[in-house]
Amino acid sequence: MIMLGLIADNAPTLVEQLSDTAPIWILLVGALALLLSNAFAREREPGFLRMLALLIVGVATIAAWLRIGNPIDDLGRFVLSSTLVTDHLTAACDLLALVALAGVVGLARERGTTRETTRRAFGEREPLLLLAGAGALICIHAGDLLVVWLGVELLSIAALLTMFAGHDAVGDPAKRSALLIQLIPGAIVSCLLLLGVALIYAALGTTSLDGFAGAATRVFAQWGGVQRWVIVLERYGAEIASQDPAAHQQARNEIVRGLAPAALFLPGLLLLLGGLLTKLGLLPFARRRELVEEAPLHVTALWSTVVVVALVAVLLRVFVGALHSPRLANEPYGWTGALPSVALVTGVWASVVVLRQRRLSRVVALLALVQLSLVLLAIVAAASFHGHIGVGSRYIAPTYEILWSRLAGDEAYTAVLVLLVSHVIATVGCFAAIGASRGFRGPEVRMQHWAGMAARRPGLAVAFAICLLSLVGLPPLAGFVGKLGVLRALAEHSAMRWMIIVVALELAVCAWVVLRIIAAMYFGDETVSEPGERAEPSLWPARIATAAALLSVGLGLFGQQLLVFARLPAAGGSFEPGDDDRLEWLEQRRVSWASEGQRAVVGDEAAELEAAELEAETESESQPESQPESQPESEQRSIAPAPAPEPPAEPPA
Amino acid sequence: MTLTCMVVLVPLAVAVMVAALPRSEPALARALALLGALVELGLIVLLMSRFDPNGAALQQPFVRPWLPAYGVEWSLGVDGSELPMLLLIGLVVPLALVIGTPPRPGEPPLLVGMSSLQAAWVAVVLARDLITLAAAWELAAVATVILLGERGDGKMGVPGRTAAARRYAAYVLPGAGALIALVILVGVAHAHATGGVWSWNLDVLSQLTLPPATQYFGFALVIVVVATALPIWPLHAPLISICVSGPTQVVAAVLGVGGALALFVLMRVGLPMFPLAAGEWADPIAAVAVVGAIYAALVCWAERDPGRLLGHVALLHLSLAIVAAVSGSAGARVGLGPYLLAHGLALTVLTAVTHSLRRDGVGNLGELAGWAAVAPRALVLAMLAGLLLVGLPGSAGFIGELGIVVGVLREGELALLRPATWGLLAAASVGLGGLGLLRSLWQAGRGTPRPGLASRSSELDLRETCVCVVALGLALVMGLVPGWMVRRSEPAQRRAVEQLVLGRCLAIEASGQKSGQGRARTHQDLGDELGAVCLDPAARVRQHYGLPGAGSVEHTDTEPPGEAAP
Repeated sequence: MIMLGLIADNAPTLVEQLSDTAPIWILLVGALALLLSNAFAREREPGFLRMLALLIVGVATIAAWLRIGNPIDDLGRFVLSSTLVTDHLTAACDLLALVALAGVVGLARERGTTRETTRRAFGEREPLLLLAGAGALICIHAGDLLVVWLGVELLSIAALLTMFAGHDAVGDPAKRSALLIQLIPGAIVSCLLLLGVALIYAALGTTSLDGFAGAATRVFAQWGGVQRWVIVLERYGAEIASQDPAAHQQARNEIVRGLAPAALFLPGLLLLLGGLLTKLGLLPFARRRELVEEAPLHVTALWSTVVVVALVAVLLRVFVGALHSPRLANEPYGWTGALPSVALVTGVWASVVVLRQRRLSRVVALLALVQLSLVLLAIVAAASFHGHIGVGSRYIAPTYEILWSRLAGDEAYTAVLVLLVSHVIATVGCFAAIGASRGFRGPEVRMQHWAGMAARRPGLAVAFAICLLSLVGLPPLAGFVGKLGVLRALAEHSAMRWMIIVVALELAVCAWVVLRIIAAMYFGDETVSEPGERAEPSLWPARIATAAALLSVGLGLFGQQLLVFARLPAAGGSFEPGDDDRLEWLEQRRVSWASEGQRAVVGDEAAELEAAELEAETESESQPESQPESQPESEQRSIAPAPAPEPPAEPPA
Repeated sequence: MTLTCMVVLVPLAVAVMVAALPRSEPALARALALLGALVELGLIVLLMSRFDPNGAALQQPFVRPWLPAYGVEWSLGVDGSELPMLLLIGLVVPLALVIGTPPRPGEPPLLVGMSSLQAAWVAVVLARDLITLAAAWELAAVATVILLGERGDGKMGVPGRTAAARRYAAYVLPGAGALIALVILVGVAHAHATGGVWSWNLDVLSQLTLPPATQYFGFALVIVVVATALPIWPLHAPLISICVSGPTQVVAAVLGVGGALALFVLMRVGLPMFPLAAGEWADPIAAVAVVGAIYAALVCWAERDPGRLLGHVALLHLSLAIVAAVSGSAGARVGLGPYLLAHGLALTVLTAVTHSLRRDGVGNLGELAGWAAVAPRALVLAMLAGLLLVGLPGSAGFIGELGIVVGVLREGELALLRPATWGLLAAASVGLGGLGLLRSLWQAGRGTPRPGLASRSSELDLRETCVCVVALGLALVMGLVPGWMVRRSEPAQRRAVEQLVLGRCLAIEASGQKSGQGRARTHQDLGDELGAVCLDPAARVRQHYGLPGAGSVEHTDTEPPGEAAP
């Protein structure tokens, strides 16, 4: 045990370490328990396994909820021999992934429509969904690149198998072959991911994220260190070789030893990044998503929500948290070089393709892809801000510039998380609404099937409309809060400012598509029937859609709560777990947040006071004898336009 | 809860109540929506009557934090300049709700949408925070697009309606996107000017002096937002389409309020925040408006399709309003209030008449020889509305037109190089186009009816006739007693123009500075930095551009006049 690092002085006990990562174990044990209980499910009603699965996810969600904002996580720590990590980011992403998983489990249907047999009704779907959720949580908690790979594999394989557990897809030979095709690129991507991890190991000698940033910096320090020897050999190599061949050979060896880690590290890093982006389904691999969208609805929802949360958490942990040093983040060698272009092109492609799309599940998946492109842009902005070196240009001193960049980085990080929350809620709500319709309720649902839905099921139509509008960022819904943060981050970043126009156009195109659906729902021909199966859908999808719509409205109207939820993980996001600087920075930020809260309260009270004063003033002025001829301008203003006091941590102009 | 808050919330509450009614009760739903709109009108009148022009600059404030971390707040208030717009919304929406087809099953969503649209419009007008304003604007755009597509699909749908709605969306949605970009641009500029403080308060933002490049870019975004919704020539095609095939109630509301609201946004957001660009681009904008007016006036003489004629009349009438908005004249701005009221009321009447023709299958006024004998009420009401648009003496249209023309001629020279040319040309075009409209109606009405016209064309029913009479009567009343409204809005308009000139002057001074030229600064910081400047802002602006009447001012020019604009 000691060798495994599970017991050490001043280290958390095994029980504490396990409780830190409780949601993972709950899901894993729950999946096994579900497989066992499946034996009893055949005798019972179709929703038996779903209820159990929801119960398990609920317990895991409570465990994750209890860790939200817990001061224990301020510092963050690696547990179980540095294989896993816990901090505010893991707590927030756990909660989000579990909420998404609950939605996915809930919206999955009980039975298929085509050639259903007793064998196909085998209840492997819920355990597989729980395993996929466990894989997502492992990714979120990963403290080692190998664990990242394991989590991604568990997630991918479970999600892939869930496609086959969806009876409709298996019933159609064309879809079955399409799903089988998934296996090949999926396996290739997994290999590339593993190859990337292997190259990184070869370069650093470790795959642990504990001290990863330091190891990466050492690689580049070595690289920089041998540069002068390269120059010397270039100039005087022939002379040295003629005078002392052994020294020449030794010098060459030293140079190779200095350059090799970087030569291995950079390709490894790019393979890792490429693998993650491929799993996320960004261009040029978006075709894979289309194949995924042939799958049953809950599988598409799983890929669009749970997988996104898990992989974005990995990107935040590895690339923003550990690899945001200037050389690694910025061009020419930095990982952020091509990523904005990939994200932007993906977003534009998705917003153009969605114009011609009639299948509702694909429309939602493509809208989700546009969201994902925004998330990636914000990730790049966050890393770029954190990797910014204060150069003291323009009007800001270098010290303040560094402070500003850290604050801007935290804000961009917050925007990522807020957008992720709104994205997950709205996407799950959209898929649930599609799954709640009568007749077709899978990937075959088309826009015309929903024409006149407002007359048939007004509640469902409202919920679907709200979730769709939140996806395109209509104020005052939750999606708007997220997009505002992302756009603000882009505007702060001088190299990314121009992207605002593209993003605004993307969102306008998406809004067009959404408006077309809503117009069809509310003003479409009411006589259109809903073809497909006659069985009444379960109540769960409708409940989930309603809850998602309410959350979208609530989190939009009370968007500050959403920001409060996201800013704590964001503030520690640029530090490695266990870094003492993280505690110091969090304390500074807490002071700043407190002053912000005070300003809000003071502003609120001041407004009430002013309103009361105005009322009194109006009453007194209603008496002609007491009415003054005129008032000075300074007294006339009822709301002082002067800006709020400057927070202590923010840089002056 | 203040009155401003209630004025926004009441239509929303009405929308919820109408949505709760069964679809099988369209008459009840319409009655409830109408009642709600009338209550809203009452609240607006109460708000106006309580507004004290000599009181605080901002009255009935309602401020609640929304996203304090981003400096966003729910902020509403009245400063007087928005009162005519409020009244316009309050009058046009109930009138629009009553016209069109009789209540029919499936109508409640339309009424819910109309009430939501009214709430969004009122919020745009009352918003004191740019994000609140943008949020309401986006909601209004979404609601308008959805409403315009009502019954556009399916076997029972109206031909061409879906295409028209799509076309309208294709114009409006990029404008909505541009507004978001504008919001971000201005917010970031404020943060940079204040060392990291985020605020979207309109009063605070209007105290910023942005660098020239930012001003030009920001004002271009405003133009994109406004031009796609106004409409402005040559971007008027979607408006014509919706006039031909859109739902009557929505068309009346969009024609009456939509364009006016876009102008309001131009004056509330575009001019105070980008005064330098607004001043330098005023002439091109006025020229485009005048070209649009001339084009629309000519079309009014030639067009025979009632729907297209209606759209071109709206384009024509708004052109003079655009000239007034960019002229930088307080008098013209004050005149804009009655002018837009006349615009909204007259277009509601014309929409009712032209859409009754559409319901009867009349697509060409040339087919209507002898219409006066079949539908005398419709013809008379349409002609009266045409006279109102031309500026019938004693009506609100006359007061407004007079105020605009006089204001542009007297005070427009600071923003416009040729105020007389643009003002008189636009006014003459309005007159010419109005005459074209009257001629078309007269020709349709005279003579003996063609065989079968009586069975084909029907008279306006009592409901629509009452609406038209009320609308025309209101326009007359406001023309006879304009002081009640003008007195309340005038001080705010004067203040706005003073701020505009001051902002322009400070932008000129800031652009002349060698250091800090590319940086946004608050007026206060700029004043501290530059010392006593802009003591007479109008004279300084005249001197900078070499305008006639420029006297000597204390501050010397830092660069030749011709090099001020990049």
